[in-house]
Amino acid sequence: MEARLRKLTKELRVADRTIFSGAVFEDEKWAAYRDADVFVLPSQNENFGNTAAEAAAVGTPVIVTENCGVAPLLADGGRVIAHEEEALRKALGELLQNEPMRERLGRSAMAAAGTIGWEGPVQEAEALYRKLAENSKGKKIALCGVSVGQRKTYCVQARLEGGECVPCGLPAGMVYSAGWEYSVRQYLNGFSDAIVPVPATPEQKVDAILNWMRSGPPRAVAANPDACRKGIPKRR
Amino acid sequence: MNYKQLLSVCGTATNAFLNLARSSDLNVRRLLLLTPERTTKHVVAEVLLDGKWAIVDPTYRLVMKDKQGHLLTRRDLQNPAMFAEATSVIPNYPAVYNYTTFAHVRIAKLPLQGLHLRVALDKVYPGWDEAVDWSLLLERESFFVLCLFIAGSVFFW
Repeated sequence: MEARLRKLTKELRVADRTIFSGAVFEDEKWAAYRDADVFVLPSQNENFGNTAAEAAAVGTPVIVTENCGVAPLLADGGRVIAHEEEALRKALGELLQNEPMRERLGRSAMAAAGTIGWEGPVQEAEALYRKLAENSKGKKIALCGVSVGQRKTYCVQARLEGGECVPCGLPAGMVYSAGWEYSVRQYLNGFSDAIVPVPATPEQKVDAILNWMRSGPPRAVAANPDACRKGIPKRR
Repeated sequence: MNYKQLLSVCGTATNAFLNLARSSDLNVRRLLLLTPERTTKHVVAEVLLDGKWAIVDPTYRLVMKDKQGHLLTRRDLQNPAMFAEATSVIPNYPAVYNYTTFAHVRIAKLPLQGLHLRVALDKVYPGWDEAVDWSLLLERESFFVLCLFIAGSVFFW
């Protein structure tokens, strides 16, 4: 990939203005973020986009595509663009030629980055699990594969069961967390009952799941109004 | 990010679909669409419907079908015309999400990649990654470590 990009810089006659830094870490990384006038994350698809959040945290305005998970959080700190060459060219030109705008966006970026943390997504996930569990009346509920970080997800699952978070890395912890994983997965497995009609053909099941995904989780809760008030341990 | 945003990302949307589908007794597996450099560009699901592994793209909530409504497999979708037909219902569906290169298991995720495991397994047992549902082992790293530990104990005992 780097060889291809180097070749491209030569073809476009910008080789003398392009730096291939390779991976940089710690102080060098933060210095690079601070030194940049604009940080660009032109990803075709990005689960989150930590680098954009880090750049914003030091007050560098960012340009990210709408396909980056972090985009809605940093919209005030730069430009959120379509994954298109022209959109990127336009946004870059706009920011590079307007220093006051960069300074203003940089301040907003820093403020926006300050609000990003694990607490929000984890609390949101917890609230959803709790709500789903309350509405599942003796049924199990499904873990919807929302990965907010392996350990954080463990915490959500453990709290739901009334257990405790297990530190990862130790063999005993591994065995214990595998046990938890299995039991929680079993416990959660039946939530699909709230989404998928029974009986249904396999194709109807697929459609039902996709329909649920189109509508988002509230639909599933609404589809299973038999509320259950037991079995949900208090948060520790 | 909230749930709506997470369900718009291919990895998490496919996870959600796979978990819910498995809970509904469907046979499903993850399919990674790879770049020529073998990095993952998109993730979709395969569902065993009518005896064939039909492609579902949970990110776009799309079951891949031709105009006659026939379910399409990854082999069908390697045909550019069929791919275009199946994805035409989604405006601006990325054409790069084609089925030229794919894999069921991302070996690089294992702590054994230095052994060139995929190459070796492909030689010894072609089609190994389709023969077994590896998802539980590979998605749940603690399970993998536990199974490795048990296998090691049995072997050395």
